[in-house]
Formats: sequence, structure tokens, C-alpha cells
Amino acid sequence: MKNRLRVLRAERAWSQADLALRLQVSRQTVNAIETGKYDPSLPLAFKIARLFDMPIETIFQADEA
Amino acid sequence: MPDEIPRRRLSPAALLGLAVGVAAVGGAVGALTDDADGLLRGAGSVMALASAAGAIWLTLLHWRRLDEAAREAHKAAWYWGGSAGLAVAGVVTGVFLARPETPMPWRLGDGDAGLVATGLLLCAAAQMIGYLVAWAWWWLVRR
Repeated sequence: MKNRLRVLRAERAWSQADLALRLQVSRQTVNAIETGKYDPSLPLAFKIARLFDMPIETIFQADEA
Repeated sequence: MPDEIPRRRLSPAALLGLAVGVAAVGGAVGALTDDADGLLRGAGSVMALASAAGAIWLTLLHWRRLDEAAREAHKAAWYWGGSAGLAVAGVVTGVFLARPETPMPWRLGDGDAGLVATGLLLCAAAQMIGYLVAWAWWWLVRR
């Protein structure tokens, strides 16, 4: 699963720690998602989408897409 | 857009540390009062039980405050690391069964009960070591 989390975070000048606080997860979790080494659950993906006010599919894309 | 940063509470690591501390205090009190008589021994047992209950409660709080990746790390570590540790313990069991004359450099307590307790402790230790290695590996490859 690929995602645009790092770009979206950078556009808002948020650090990984800032984003982690907003999502109520650890900074390590944000890093693992950004690097594509951990795929978030659906509830967390929805939370991310709500935070950035975007549809999920514009943030996350399947590898084959 | 929800832009407000939520306030942080006691961290999961702090809660886990507290749970270990409470359990250690309970264990120490139980051990120190084990040879005492009557009321003191009873009070020590009650304190040890209360500490165990407190430690379980703190561990549950710790688990509830973990985020999903941290929970996933624990679950994967327990499955893979714990299973690997148990497999190692199984091999050791096989060696001891095949060579009953193998000397025991160390054991808990006396008699058959002591031997069973030693075996249980070694199995638990092997699982814990496997768990810790797998947990560290899970995070290491996701840095």
C-alpha cells in the first residue's frame, strides 16, 4: 500500500510527532505508515482521511494501482 | 478539520513500568512475610494479592492506551517469538529426556515439585526471550 501521508504532513509543516498527537498514535506508528511498512487499520485510515479532509483513496493507493 | 491537539495522559510505557513496580513490591512483600507467623503472614499474602490485582489492572490500562501498531507488534511478537521460544524449550526437553543423567547446574526448590517449577520457569523464560527479540525485530524493520 502506497500513501501520500508524508507529503500531506509536509504541506502543513507538521512534524511526525505533531501528526501522531493529532491521530492519537505514536510517532513510530506514523513513521511506519509513511514509509509504507505498516498499513493502518480501516478506522485509522478513516481518521487520517478526516484529519486531512480528503477521501481515503486520494491518500492511500493499492500497490498495483 | 480537527486541528486541536489532544492532551496526553500517562504514557503506555509509564503504565507498564508502574505495573512491573507494583508487582515487584507485592512479590517482595510476599517473599519477606513468607516465613512470618499468623497475622503478619496473612497481611503479606493479602498485600501480594492486592499488588497482583493492581498490576493486572495497570496492564489492562496500558493495553487500552497502546495504538494499533504497538498492539500489532506485541501480538506478532508473542505469536512468533513466543512460539520460537517454546520450540527451543521443546528441544531442551527432548535432550533432557534422552539423557536423564545430564547434571542440573541449577534448579528451583527441592524434590519433584522443584523440578516441575524449574521446567515451567525455563519455558516461560524461553518464551519471554523469544518475545522480546521478535518485538524488537518488528519495530526495527519498520523504522
